[in-house]
Amino acid sequence: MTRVWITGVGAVTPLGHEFAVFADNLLAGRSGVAAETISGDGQGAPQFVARVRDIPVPPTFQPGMFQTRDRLEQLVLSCAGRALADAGLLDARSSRRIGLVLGLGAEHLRLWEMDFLAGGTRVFDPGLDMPSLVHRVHRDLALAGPATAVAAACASGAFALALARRWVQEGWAELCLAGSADLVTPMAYAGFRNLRALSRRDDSPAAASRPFDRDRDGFVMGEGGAVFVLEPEHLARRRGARPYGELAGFGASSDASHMVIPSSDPEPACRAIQGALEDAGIDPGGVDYVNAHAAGTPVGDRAESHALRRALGTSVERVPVSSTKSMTGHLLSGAAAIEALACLVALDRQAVPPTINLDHPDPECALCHVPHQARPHRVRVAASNSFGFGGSNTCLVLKAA
Amino acid sequence: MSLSSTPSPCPDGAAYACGVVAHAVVESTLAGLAALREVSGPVAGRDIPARFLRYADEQTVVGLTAVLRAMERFGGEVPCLDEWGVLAAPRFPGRIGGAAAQVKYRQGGPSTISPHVIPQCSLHSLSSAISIALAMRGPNLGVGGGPEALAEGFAAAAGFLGCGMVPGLWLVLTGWDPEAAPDGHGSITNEAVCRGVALALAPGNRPTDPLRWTISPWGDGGSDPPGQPDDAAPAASLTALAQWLAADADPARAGPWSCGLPWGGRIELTRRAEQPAYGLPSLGLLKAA
Repeated sequence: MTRVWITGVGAVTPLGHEFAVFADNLLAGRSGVAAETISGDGQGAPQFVARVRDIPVPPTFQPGMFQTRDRLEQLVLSCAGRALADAGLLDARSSRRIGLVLGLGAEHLRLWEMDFLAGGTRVFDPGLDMPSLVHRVHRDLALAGPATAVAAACASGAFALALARRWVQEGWAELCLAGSADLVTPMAYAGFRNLRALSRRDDSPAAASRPFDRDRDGFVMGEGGAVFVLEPEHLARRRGARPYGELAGFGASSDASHMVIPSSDPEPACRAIQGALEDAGIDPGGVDYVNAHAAGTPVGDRAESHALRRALGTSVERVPVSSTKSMTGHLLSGAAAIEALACLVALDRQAVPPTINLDHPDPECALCHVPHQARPHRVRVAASNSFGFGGSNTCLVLKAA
Repeated sequence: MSLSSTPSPCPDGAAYACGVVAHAVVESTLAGLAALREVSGPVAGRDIPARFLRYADEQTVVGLTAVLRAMERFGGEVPCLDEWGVLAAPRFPGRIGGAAAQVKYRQGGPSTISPHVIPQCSLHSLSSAISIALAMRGPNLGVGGGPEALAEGFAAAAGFLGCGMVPGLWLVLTGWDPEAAPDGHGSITNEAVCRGVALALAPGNRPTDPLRWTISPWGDGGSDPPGQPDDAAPAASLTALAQWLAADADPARAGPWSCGLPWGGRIELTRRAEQPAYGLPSLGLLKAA
């Protein structure tokens, strides 16, 4: 089976928009969470969120034209255009069959909401419907390969990368752009708040996201995204491309249990992790780092810990596990892509990012934690878990190329 | 389930083909959906939880109902589903509930947003509901969500089926025709029908499969330049597919159904020349209202 390398990265994150800046901040244990007012009218009490600012204009756009696009579109265009440029493929994009797969969980709900808050009527008037974002970006970047959006809530980005890898392996696309993105909007914030999924801490923004900690009480919303260039190894070698890593494995399963609450049975999530390792040809003992989904919810972190213990077996005692959501917040549909990026950082810097705010590890989450500070570590294989509403369990395996 | 645990059945860039083990179509007006929401208890061999669809998006209701109809109709032919995946491609899901939530938010602020909006009105909601209702533990995901959802659904299905990741999957395509125009209070201002198509796709070529599905990802099979999409409007594509599926016994519709992909290539469904007899031949199209 064709090996698929990641040869380009474009990211917009609460910890910076360039790979090196993101890596520096991640390994320094910096929090991207701040107190902000997020209601549509700018009124109301500040909330703790990890937002992005100053979305970089991609190289194919004039700044004025870029600013006319809605914010989610700006986010995706910035990530995709800069990923192509990073891979050295910007000028060659029209002559190659480049595909596009985006993880977007609620694109139209976000679009309708932002339009409505600005006085628009798109949600009521189908005559104003536009092509989906993935097809607008496909057109703007003059791509010629297949394109689609996929969604599995917070696991959307993992499915996007998996499908793109598959299209590259099958020859449906010579190369494929793949990633995911999401925004914090007032209604999304209210919806998660009313689900009681968000942390209610109000003391310190940087301390609110506390995955695996005994005192965690929910997640902190974040926004941003990342898009990667996926390329067959032989093509990348031929043109001398720099590989960030190999997208080596993917596994997925469903809890088939509840629309919101993760199953207390660790078996389905365990099967997703085992499937990814099997796909990558890796034994549990060959894993050097796990980027956990752990969002900081009492039930979810505990369920994931049990699944990891079952999937990794005795290796769980020595494989470092961290949740970078402690710093980035939970980017929802964008989470899996940002956490794949965190794994590339671990491969590149030979260091494991920390879980900040892990003052008192929950005994129910007994793992080989990396609290507070990054740890130098030989990382050749990293696994990234992403679980989503609707019972979706996914795991990606990334290897040094 | 891993993504490439078995060798690919497709040569590089070539078409993908598989069997359609079962299929059904359901359509309903908004008023008619109330009855479909009441589904619970043992249906098609599965135990649906009481009030499971109470807060579900309209497209989730017709999508799940279509899967249940297909299981009833082709029950003996559908293999064990526990490890199957679900891939659902709704067109503009959550529009009616989303519009109502926005109006409430403007009038009453954040506390008025129902906790059901996010889990029930998102792109993944339909696939997740089917996975839960039918206790299927293979992967579930939403695809598309916009005008090209039908084409995207088939293209994604080929990707996940072709690698042996799942023994089979339900591809569920839904949408309103014409597109629903919400009034902001949970109803719509136009006369529209919500339609769901369920296709049970399984690799292989069995003589009992009622349909055969082929997707050519690129021109006619690998090296052609990009083609142009069909002129048909998105809603018309789903409607045409539903009508073609529902007309099993109509000699006038014996030919294949096909649809262009936005980036070139085509999807084609063909009927078996000699159809086996199925237990409940008239349930392909259920008009609930």
